[in-house]
Parts: sequence; C-alpha cells; structure tokens
Amino acid sequence: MRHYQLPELDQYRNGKMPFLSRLPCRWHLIGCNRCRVRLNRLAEDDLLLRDIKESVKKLNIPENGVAYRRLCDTFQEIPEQHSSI
Amino acid sequence: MGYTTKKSLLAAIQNGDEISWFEFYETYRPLIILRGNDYRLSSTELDDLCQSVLLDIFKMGKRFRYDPAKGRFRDYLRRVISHNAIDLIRKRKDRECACTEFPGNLTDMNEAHWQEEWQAHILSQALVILREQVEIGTFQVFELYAIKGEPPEKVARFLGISVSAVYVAKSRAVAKLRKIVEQLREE
Repeated sequence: MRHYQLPELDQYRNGKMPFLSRLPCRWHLIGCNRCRVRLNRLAEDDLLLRDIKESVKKLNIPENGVAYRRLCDTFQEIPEQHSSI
Repeated sequence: MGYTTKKSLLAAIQNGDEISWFEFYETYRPLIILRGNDYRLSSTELDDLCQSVLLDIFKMGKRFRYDPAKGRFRDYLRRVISHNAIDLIRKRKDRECACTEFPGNLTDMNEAHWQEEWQAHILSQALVILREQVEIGTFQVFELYAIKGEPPEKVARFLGISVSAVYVAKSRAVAKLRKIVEQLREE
C-alpha cells in the first residue's frame, strides 16, 4: 500500500490536490491509520505556526535609536551588523 | 551572529560561553521591554530598563560569561529584569513625592506571565534560527506561505516553482522548526 507524505496530505486538506488524486486519497485515509495520524499532525503544525505568528507580533517592538546609541556609547562600540538604525 | 549558526545564543549562555553585549541586546531587547510593560513602565523607563539590565549583566565589559552553577538563565534574567524595574519605579516615586501608584505585588510579579513571555521569546527565536538552518528558497516559501499566509499558487508563481514544491518546502521547514523549538525549550 502506498502511503501519503505530509506535503500531499497538506494539499489534500487544503483542497489543492489534483482532482483525480483526491478521491483515492480520501478512500485511503478511511482505511489507513498511519496516514490519518499524519493528517492530524498537520493540525498540530497549524497550532505551532499560529503561536509563532502571535509571538513574533508580540515581540515586534520598534527599537529606539537614541537608546541604542546610548548603549553603543556605554560599551564604546558600534557593531557593524546593526543596520536597522 | 556567531553562535546561532551552530547553536542558539541561549545554549551558548547556558554552556558558559562568552557572548557579546550586542548579541545579547539583539536577542533579548524585545523580551526585556515586554517584561518591563508588566511593571507599567513609561517608554523612557523601558529604554532605561534595557540599558540597566545590560549594564547589570555585562558590568561595563563588552563580553559576558554566564556561570551555569547559578541555575537556569531564564530565572536569572527574570530576577535581573525585576530588580531593575523595581529600582526604576522607586526612583520615579522619589521624583514624584510618593504620589505614583505602585503596581501591586512587585516583588513577585506573576511567574506564569513570565513563562508565557519566555515561550513567546523561544518561538520568535526559533524562526530566526530556522532562517539560518534551511536553504534560502525553503525559508522564502515558508515565510510567504506559512507565516504571511499568501496563497500557495501566488507563492509558486512568484518564486517560479510548482504548488507541490511549496507544500514540500513548508513541510521541510515545519519539521525543522519543531526540532528547533523542542531544543530551545530544553535549554
């Protein structure tokens, strides 16, 4: 029996699987526990991605250029990598 | 960013490796500011908090080495932020003749909230590390499709790849991301 890979199942659940492949995939999922588990893992991935997006938004705090330069003065160093200011 | 290419900055700190003030600032500034908001500090005070936390940790030196015997770095950082935030509020009170409202329970500011903030920090760092660990094309697909929510057809057209390739790249990136997050949570 041919099992489905995560990218294929991701396409399936998002309705992006080619029409002719969709029905065999649906039938396969009914009888295959292994592929159903994989499909559920994609839902867990969605939760992780949601949490990451929220975290990035939460921590996207604009930098104060004056405060940064004050730190450079304190440490007597202007790092080259810093390009945002 | 020297450390994150091989291991995370957190792992380097926990190992007792030497890190620069700038690496520390780039990585932890948002977390320090976020925590400072819990203490209802003004925007000027938040900048002062960031400065004083760095001075406290680096003691005026450009580099810092954490002593792993002190326990988990996250607990140490929480204590340093808390100590400096309370100090700033005290200074404000002195200036304003004790008429400033003092946020309740300052010495034990919600531990659960700190855990949430730490988790948010871990997740946003995981994305930074992912960018360094996967091929640029894979990261581009992942960012456009999984993070920014662009339709897969649009991403495929934009990058000149097939829609299936978008899903393959996303799957690869998410698997890697899971490992990075697990590793960061253990550190």
